[in-house]
Amino acid sequence: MTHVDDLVAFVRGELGDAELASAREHVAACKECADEVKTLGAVFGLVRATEIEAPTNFAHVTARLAARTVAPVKRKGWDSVAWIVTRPIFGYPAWAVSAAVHLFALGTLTLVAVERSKKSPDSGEKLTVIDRQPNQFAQPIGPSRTPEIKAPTGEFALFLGKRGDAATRAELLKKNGGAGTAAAVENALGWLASQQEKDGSWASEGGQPAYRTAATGLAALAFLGYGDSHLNGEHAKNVGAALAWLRTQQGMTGRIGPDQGAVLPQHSIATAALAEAFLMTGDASLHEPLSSAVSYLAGSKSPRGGWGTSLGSEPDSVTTSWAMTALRLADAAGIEAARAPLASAAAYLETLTSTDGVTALRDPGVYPNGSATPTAAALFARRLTGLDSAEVARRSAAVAAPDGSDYTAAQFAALASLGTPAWDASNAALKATLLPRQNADGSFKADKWSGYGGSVAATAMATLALETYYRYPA
Amino acid sequence: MSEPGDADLMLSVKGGDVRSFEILVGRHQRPLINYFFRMTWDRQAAEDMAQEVFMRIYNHAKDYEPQAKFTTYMYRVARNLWIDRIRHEGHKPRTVSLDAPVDSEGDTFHDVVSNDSPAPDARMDKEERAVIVRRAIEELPEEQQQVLLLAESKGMKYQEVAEVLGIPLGTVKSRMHAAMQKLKDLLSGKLENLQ
Repeated sequence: MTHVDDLVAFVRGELGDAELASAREHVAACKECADEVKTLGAVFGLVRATEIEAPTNFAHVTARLAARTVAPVKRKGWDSVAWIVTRPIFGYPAWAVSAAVHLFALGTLTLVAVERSKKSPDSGEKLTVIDRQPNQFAQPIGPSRTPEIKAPTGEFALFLGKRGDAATRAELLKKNGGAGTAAAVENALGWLASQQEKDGSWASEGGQPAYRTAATGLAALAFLGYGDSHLNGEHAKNVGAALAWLRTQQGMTGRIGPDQGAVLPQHSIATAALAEAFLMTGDASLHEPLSSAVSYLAGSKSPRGGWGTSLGSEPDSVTTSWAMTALRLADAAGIEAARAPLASAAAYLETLTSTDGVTALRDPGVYPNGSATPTAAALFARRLTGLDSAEVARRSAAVAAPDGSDYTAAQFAALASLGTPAWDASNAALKATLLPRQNADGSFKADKWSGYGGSVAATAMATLALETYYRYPA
Repeated sequence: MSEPGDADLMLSVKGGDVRSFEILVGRHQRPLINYFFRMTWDRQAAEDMAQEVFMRIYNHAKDYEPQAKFTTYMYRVARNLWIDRIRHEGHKPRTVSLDAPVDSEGDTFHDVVSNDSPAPDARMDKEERAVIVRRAIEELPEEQQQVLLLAESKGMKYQEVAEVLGIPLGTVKSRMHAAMQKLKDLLSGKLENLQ
């Protein structure tokens, strides 16, 4: 008796009518082939049993992301888009989260016209520069019970275009009590410049390799915070190379950085770096990558209003503050899609903040890693989104003073406290605890989060904290 | 009225209809996510890659011509994306060990494949089974694995697998046969316990 030639094809229904009839007849009469059919069916069944479900909202989110990517500036109202995947997450790298945060603030700017151009100091390539003018933040958004997004108040109602002006920096350094920090920042920037790799990125030396995007974004932000952009300043080449590398990490969806692990913290840091550079220079070549990055961020927001560390993960206040910072900067740069998600994100932070101003990480009243970073990060994010200045002053009492063990918390605390009644004490603690932790070569000693981002991220974060005095020049 | 076919939807997408695109994504999301999932065993990476495939399709919709079956086109894009990843990373982007957390919550592969939260005993069985099957699939040569995973994507026929991979139909048959023989060998002795 001749056995069936291809029982796999038989089991899969790949045989033609004639072959199928013949095979059926044979299998019915042949125990050996019948057993083989049974075994093959079992193997197929095992493979199929590994199947997973698609996220509930996958098609909806993908369609919206696609539409945004193609014409991001022209589209509105995509706010509440998000995955409804119920995969809980934890263990965000808080150092990364806060990093982006320093950067922003600001008076909002509106793209107006392409009028002039100038040359990049590195490449000689002709870059288009767009003039901007203040936006009045006049339009409340979102339902009435969500916070109105208004111009940042106090120290943050500023133009980043003034960054890099040495006289302004010196004036603000003096005004805000930054004496003794200038040399530390300059030494740190010198060390960061010496560590940059040929491709423009920074390795997360001493941390985890997967955090290269964050390390690079933070280092870029440290230079930008000082006032050096890719077009101006002593470290223009460093910034230019860093921005170029970040753009190489941007995929079709707009996401910058890896698709695993701390996806959204890293993406937000990179987005913030692009936004700051755009705000400082008006370089039109940054508009499209920034728009695309904003689209990804807007589309990845949780239905609860905040962001988690990755798509579909449960939101938390620190990641949300970080994402809000990036969006607020992009909004200030005139990226229209950045505005809508801010109102519900601000409302989300309010749900986690107690009446005395202490913010939880994920669930009201629950502080798995302490309340210092969530509280400071959330207050800074709310300052960026127009929280009333009296309320900012009141909540500033809940912000813990820096203790030197956590540069991320220190950075957020400084940004949250600047100009508030808590500033003097916070500033004194900032200088007393951070400056002694600088090494002779300009780098900073490891902190609580160095296991993730390594020495580059730690140094960049400490530098950003020490740049608080003048990062948002009024 | 019958539902519009994939080609009809793509033509609507070509004309700027995002709703048609959403229908199309909803129709094919599950097999595409599972295609990537069985190569990476990482749910998030699989979802991200599937989304990138759909984004590429959307962004190139203006060039779409309904000559090939939509799924053939879609899996060609998926295959190209996978090859891009391998080239970019220098190896298969399969970095998750069975016992390592696959997300920042600390969930392992075991958790991922057991997301329907069965009773503890049943869950253990399912986890063990999934790990054994995963290891067996990973043992397959790349070319056999590709044929198997495509063929198992919504029951794709051999002819379409051949078109996606650009190889002769006979090669698909022989690779599929070899893949199943190897899986059977690897799982022999365990099948009774696994079923």
